[in-house]
Amino acid sequence: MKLKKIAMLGMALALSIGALAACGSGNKAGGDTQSSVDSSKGVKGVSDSNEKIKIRLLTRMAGTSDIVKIYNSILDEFKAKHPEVEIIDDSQGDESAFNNILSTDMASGKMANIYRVQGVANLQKYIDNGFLLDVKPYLDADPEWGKSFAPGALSYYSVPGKEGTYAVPMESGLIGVYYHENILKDAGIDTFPQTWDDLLVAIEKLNAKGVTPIALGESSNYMGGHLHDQIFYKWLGTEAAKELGNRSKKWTDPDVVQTLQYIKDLIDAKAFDPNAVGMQDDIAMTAFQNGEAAMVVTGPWMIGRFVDPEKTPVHDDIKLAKFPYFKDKPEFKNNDMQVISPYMINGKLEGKELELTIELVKMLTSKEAAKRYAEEAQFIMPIEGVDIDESKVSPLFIESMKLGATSEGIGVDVFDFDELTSMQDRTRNSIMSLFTGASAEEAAAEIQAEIDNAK
Amino acid sequence: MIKLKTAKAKFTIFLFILPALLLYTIFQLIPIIGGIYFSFVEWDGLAGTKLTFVGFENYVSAFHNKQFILSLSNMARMVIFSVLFHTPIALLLAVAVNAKLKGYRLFKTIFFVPTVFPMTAIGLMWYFVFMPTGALNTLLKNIGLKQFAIPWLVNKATAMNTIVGVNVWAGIGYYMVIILAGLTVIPKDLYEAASIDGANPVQMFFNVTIPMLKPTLIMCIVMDIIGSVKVFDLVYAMTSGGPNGLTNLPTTLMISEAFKYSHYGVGSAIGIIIMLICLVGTVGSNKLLNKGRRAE
Repeated sequence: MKLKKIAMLGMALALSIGALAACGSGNKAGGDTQSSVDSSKGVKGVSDSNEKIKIRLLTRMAGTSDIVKIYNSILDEFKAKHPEVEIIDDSQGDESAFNNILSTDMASGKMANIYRVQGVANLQKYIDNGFLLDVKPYLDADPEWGKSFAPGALSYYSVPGKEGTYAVPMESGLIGVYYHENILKDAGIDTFPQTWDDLLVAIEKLNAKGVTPIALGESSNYMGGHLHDQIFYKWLGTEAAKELGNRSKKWTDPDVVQTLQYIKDLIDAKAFDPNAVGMQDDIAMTAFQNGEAAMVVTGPWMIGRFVDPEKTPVHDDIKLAKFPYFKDKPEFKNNDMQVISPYMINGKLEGKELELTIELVKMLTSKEAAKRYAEEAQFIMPIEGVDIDESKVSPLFIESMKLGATSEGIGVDVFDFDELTSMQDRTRNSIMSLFTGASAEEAAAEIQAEIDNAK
Repeated sequence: MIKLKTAKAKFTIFLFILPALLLYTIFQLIPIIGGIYFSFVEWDGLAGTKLTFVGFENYVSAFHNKQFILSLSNMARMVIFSVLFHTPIALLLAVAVNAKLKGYRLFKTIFFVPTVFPMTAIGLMWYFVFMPTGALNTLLKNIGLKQFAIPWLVNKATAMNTIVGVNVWAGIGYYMVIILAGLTVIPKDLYEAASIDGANPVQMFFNVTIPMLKPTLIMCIVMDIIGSVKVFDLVYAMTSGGPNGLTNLPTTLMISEAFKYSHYGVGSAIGIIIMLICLVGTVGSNKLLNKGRRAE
């Protein structure tokens, strides 16, 4: 009987220990599942002085595109140069997955060495909590690298109310209207519409021809968001976005409501596929690439696909133009939406780890990297003085660079200048509601309510 | 019942419970206590930043949020339609399967199959059916009913109802199996006695099967209420709560508030409200169950 009890006790203890061990090993198992460029195993804990230095990256560079291949090859080069370093690349192509990891990192305080945050105004709290490194001293210390960046792109990361520069720009370029020249010509549109009125006329002609005027997959609501950004900058200028951010302007102001009304006008003019609201971005893009839609508002990250004959059967026909301006607002003709994406560095790094992280960022944003990205992936980095072999890049790429250089005012997303994290979702969702019957006034009130409720 | 006479025996039992208790504490109790704590503070989701005690402000803020009210309304719709359809349909299917007609095993498997798949897979599958260029609209167009082809998951009138419909479809098999188990333990003597008394199959169904299944049916309804309040994966896979929050449930809104908007306090408050709804549902249903048992 006694033996039986001892056996029972032993089993119970074993179960408890087993359960605890399972809990304890959870993190380790989780860690192993991370996509590690360096596949070496058995790295010791943080307290071990002989451990490898780990550099973790959380970027949007994931997938199988040519852009990502170059990014990965640079990581491989770094790894070969520094075998003592383990690179852990948690980068996510999917925005939602990326945001989930970023939120978890921020809540736990375990930020990646290199990461990115959307927006500028919202960076203040990250700076205050030491999550972001001021890279200005490092840019100044290495003029060859530091002075290679386009001044506009670098100054974009001068955060209001803060000294310094809080990101290294790694992507730039005009977000404009890519269009099929022949489809427009077939519909009787000889030149790309220069003004808003011309655009409405073109939409009418394209509809008469049975062609979808503008490809839009609003189920991926950034597409409607980007369209509104274009209209906003052409109607109110890029400075107005900053005024919304610093609260000297409201979303319910008549001139801001008008920017939403213009989207309603496009919907009423049947500018989009009737199913656009439930359509994903890739379906809309495929429609454009197959020549089923005449225009699409997108950025330079699509050039690689647009010039690839396998992915885009009508690739020779695609041209790029700036979004049409409003006749009444010629002063904003060259106020453009551009993409500017950053690499940000964890402000809590020190010593060798910081030194190596900076070195990796330099490799990722060097002139050599910019040349490779341009020639092999048609990807524009905001780096000047890069000797690009024009025979290796497409005319669309060159056009994008030329048009981008003419911008007099640059804005990314309108919500970038708002410190409220929820504004990305709020603005894009409310813009989406325009497609499901909401009026411009209702959408504006909904967005403004988000700001008012946060006070 | 085994009587625990000695402290040693009680200690032995405690040791057996210990592993489960530890897991329950780590994965349930501590997060619940953490959730309650966070629901009373304001925190922007950055480690090291100040947590400010705000009392019930997060709860007030949640109830002033139109999106939350809409999500509660969606949840109510999900619960009502699930309860209305799951158990009655599952009961009919279980009775039909239990009749053991030719091929009943095949039907039993077919009805149960949706329960085997993860809800995210089911959500994705139905998303491809209901998307604007999906299977349903293609079918409607091909059979000349183009006018009925609408964006099912976007249209205000159909978006939430479509998801509720999928949830009903996906859950029937599960409740059918539970009821089927209940059916097998009803003594055959009762049916024989009823038959001798001249009862027809319909009378036997209402006067023997239903009363004997009452505890099982009530249990199904309780589980259905709680399960419907907790639905998350299906909505996340089909619409992520969109468009513009139209199909949000409190569970999906909670994730958005906490992790997308960094409103951890409001997100936690929504989590606690969901827990309270489940608690009220469970206690209420248990009382109903006990009342039913006493009546018997």
